[in-house]
Amino acid sequence: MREFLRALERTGSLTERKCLLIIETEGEGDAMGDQGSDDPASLSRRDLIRGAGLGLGALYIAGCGGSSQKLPGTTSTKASSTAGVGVPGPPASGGQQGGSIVVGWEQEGNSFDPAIGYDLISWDSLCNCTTAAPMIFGAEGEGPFPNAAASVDISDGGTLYTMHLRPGVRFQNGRTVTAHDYVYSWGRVLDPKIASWAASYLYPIEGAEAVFNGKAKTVKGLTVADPMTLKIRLRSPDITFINILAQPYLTAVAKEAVTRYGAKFAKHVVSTGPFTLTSYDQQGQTAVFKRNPHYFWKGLPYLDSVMYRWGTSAQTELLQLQHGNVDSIGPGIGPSLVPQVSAQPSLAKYVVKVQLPAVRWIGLNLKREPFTDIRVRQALNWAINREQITRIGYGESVPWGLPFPENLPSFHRVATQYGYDPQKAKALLAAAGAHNLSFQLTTTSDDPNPSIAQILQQQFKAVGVNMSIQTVSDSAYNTSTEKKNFTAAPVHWYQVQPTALDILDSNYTTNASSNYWNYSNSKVDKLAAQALGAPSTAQSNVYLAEAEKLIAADAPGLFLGSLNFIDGRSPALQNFHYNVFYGTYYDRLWKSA
Amino acid sequence: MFGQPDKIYANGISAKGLPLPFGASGHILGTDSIGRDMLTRLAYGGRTTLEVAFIANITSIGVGAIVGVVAGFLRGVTELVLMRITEVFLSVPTVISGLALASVLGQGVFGVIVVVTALYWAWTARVIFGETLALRKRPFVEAAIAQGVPSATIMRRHILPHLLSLLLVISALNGAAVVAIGAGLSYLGAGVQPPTPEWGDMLNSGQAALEYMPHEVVEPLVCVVLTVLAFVLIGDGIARRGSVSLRRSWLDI
Amino acid sequence: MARYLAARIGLGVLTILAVVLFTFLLMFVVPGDPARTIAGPRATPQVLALVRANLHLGQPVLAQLGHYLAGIVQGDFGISYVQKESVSSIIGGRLPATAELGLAGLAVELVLGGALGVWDGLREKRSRWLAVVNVGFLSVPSFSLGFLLLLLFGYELSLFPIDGGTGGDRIVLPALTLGLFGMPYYANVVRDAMQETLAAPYTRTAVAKGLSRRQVLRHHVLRNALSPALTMAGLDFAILLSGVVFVETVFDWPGIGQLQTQAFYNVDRPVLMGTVVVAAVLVVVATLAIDLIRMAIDPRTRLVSQ
Repeated sequence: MREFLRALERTGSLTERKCLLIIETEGEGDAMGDQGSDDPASLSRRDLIRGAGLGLGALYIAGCGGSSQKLPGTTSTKASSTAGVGVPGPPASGGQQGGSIVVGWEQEGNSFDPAIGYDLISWDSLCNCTTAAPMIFGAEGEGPFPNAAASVDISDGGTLYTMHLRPGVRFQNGRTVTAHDYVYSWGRVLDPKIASWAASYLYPIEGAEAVFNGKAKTVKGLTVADPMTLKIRLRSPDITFINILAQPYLTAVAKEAVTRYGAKFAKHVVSTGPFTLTSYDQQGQTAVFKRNPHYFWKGLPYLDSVMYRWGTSAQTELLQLQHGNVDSIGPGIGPSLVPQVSAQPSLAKYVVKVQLPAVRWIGLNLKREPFTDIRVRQALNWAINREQITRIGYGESVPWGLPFPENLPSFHRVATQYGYDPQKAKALLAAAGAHNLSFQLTTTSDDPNPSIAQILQQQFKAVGVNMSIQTVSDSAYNTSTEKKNFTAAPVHWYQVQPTALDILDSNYTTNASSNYWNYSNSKVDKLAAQALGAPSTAQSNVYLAEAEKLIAADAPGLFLGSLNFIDGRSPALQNFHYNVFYGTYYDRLWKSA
Repeated sequence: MFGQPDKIYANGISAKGLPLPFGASGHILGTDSIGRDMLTRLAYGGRTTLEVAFIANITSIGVGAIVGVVAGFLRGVTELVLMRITEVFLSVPTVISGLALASVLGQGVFGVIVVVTALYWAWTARVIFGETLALRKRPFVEAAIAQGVPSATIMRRHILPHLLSLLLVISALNGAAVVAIGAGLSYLGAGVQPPTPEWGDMLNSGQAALEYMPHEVVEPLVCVVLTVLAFVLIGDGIARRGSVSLRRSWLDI
Repeated sequence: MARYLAARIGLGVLTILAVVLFTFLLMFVVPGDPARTIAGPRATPQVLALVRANLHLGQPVLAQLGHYLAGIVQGDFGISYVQKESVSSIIGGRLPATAELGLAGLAVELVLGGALGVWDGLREKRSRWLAVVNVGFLSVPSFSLGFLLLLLFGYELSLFPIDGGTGGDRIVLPALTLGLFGMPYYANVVRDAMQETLAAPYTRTAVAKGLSRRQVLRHHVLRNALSPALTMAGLDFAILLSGVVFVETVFDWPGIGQLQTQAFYNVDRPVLMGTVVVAAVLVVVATLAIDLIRMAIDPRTRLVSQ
């Protein structure tokens, strides 16, 4: 009987893990007020990049204008003696070579293979250790800027991307990367035997879908012009493609290593990133990444090694951080432990708060009563006191009554947020002729879902709606949403690119892969297509803003909050920056003695 | 008298977003992480918790005792079969069997009772079986067998009464465990669902606050400890009244 | 005796088989789709379908079961859906650490629980304080207990390392947590058996024979009083070996329990089944061992040769 007790108790802490929705790692860093005091230079540095980012962004937009504008290369070489350091993040002056850090995690990753890894820890290993994608985003999501590519020319009305490889980029085994390696690596992502979740993100490339469907062996749209030049032909203009080039699954991987290790390549990744995976000890629950001497940003990384350790409870990790046993808590300080930061001022110096392009909402099944009626959906949106919900989370989220995340670069909203207006809610419910409404919320026991569910329950009760709560296991939750066998369910979404197309195309278009809500609005579909094919980011964002307004009015969800990431890291880490899409940059980090 | 257990008080959360501690004005036992009154929830939680703990304890021990005694007394084929079934129940991971049962039985108090019984009886059966084996060789049992007393009667009249004190010990021990199980089951989507207050669930959800708001863990813990202690003392009392075991030691006469 | 052993071993194999069958079928009752955890939330239905096809998940349950059993017979427990490693090497790698912790935990609970039980059993009246302590340890969530030990002895007093992993004195705190959690069971059962034994006629006889107190205790009382504790210890060992997840995560101890729970959440059926088979084997072996040991120390339970 003790086994059951033990197992069940464990279940509690385990379901706390927050790994099921993708890439919760990302987020960058506005310090929670204390980073500035630790490091007075950080503010000015950040302003500096932000400025640089805007400038580059403007150039890029011009590039998308169809005029074959060349993207800037290592624009920051003049700003810093360390080549390229300034491109994606702030220049690292005074970096110290040597040292190593330990990063603590709760769970083992699903795979460190760039084509397969998606969860917290795997994503972090890819983005910040083993791989270097052709492009890279700035810390706050600016860009993308050239990385393993020296530049990318866009021509033919946005359908031809000419990628010039950066000279001197080598695999971790020393071999020089050529355009053929990209053809191989991207073909691998599209290999149906690999069944990569990322395959559909390559569909904009002409002939990519045919490869994944097994109808073609090679991707028609990829041609090697010369060993240092790859020509990429798109099916149609796609404003997200340049962002896709900044995703880790588009890194080059060494074919010889894939051939040698086969299915175990995930534990022997050979790519072009700052650190080489030298040991993966499943038994000891550790992975070690050693400095890659061939890394193309000369002088980086500073650290000799990064060690991952997983299998630890979040509470223990927080102790280990204070004790100096770990230098960074990979998954951050989870919702259940965040209040502790508020209660214990001594913890403040370990904490960095980062605003993420991420949102949380309650997804509604539009084919089920009572949500077939738009007035009921709108009414419940007005009935939510979002302040009350975010107050218990100590900054884990901020009140946000719209479908797209709050902080999207150069996005000008036309939609107005849902606020707290119980009278309006009651009026709408009365207009809908709804009396004694009741429905069931299906939720996992992952924090903070149970708390949110119980708060909402009380708030809805105040307007005469009775919501019951059904807690289910994570896998049961996945099954019921996927089969659209639910009435209401909490959801969150972490964007991996700066455009709202990321959330829109996955959740709100009629055929979107995560559209579990039976939501379909032909105007939204059209706007999404227009935004995708738009000639510039600015133009694209105009369509997206319009789409957001329509979705907000249709209310296929009860919009709750925009999410933050509460990172825990040792104050000894210098030049610490958290990227909203990738996580902590380990390559430019060093540890003070 | 105690107010509404589900009510979230507007001032139940401090300006820093923290629950109110023990002794806060208006909430003498503090509030929980979303601002509900702990005293109210503990009071209502006792109802659910005791109901589940009491019934599930009786059913699981009942089944376990019967299987253990029958297997230990009859031995032979019965023993082999019954004890192997017991082993199967001991080996299947409880998370899986608990979830599977829960998905068939649905949620609520009844489901918890069935699941706890299904998962706990085997452990009891195994311990009782061992004791029955020993009792079977005691002279009074052998005498009864020799006299041709029917097996059922021997088990009822001669074996079970001797196991009473052990059963009481087990049930007192189970009392604490059953409380925790209710909480575990609600995590798995079975069991009692929020916002119904339940001690085990309160205990579990307060764990994250152990370092900074220990009252969230300590208060339900005290309730559980006091309740189980009461079980233990009742068990003691019954055992002392029992006519069978003369609670005296020959060592110190 | 040889026939008994042979029968028990044969039945043990049947038991394990039954557990495998039962668990395998149960896994299909519980909702869950491995494709989802393998491919993640951004995977399109097409990718999910491919993942399922690659893992042969489309086959009927019985065909999958048959395939699995055929593998087991050849000692092949399959390949992890997620980690792509052979299940036997994954589990085999974890067994030593788990066994170490299991044995240490068992030792602590036996020693503590046994000693307290004997002490309490020899008293005229049972100790109320011990009862309170026992119930306290029973009721405190084991996760909290472990964390408090870590906080106090690891963090505040720095007596033990808190960096996780195995080796050196890292075993002390997790073993102590296990032991304190298990102690009340032993203390209660031993105390109870002690009182039963002290009141038994054979104790009276032994005392009447004029044996010394120490001799009576050692040869007559303890021997009999240990029988139920032994049953528990055998089962406990099997349970400790098949996983004590909460201790493993608090102390970052790489054991089977974490493996099983993560496999459960990932719907990684081969790994989950592997841990189930290990647990079943342990339970079967442990119960057989208990029965044999009990026969050795307690002649009353021996088989009647008929």
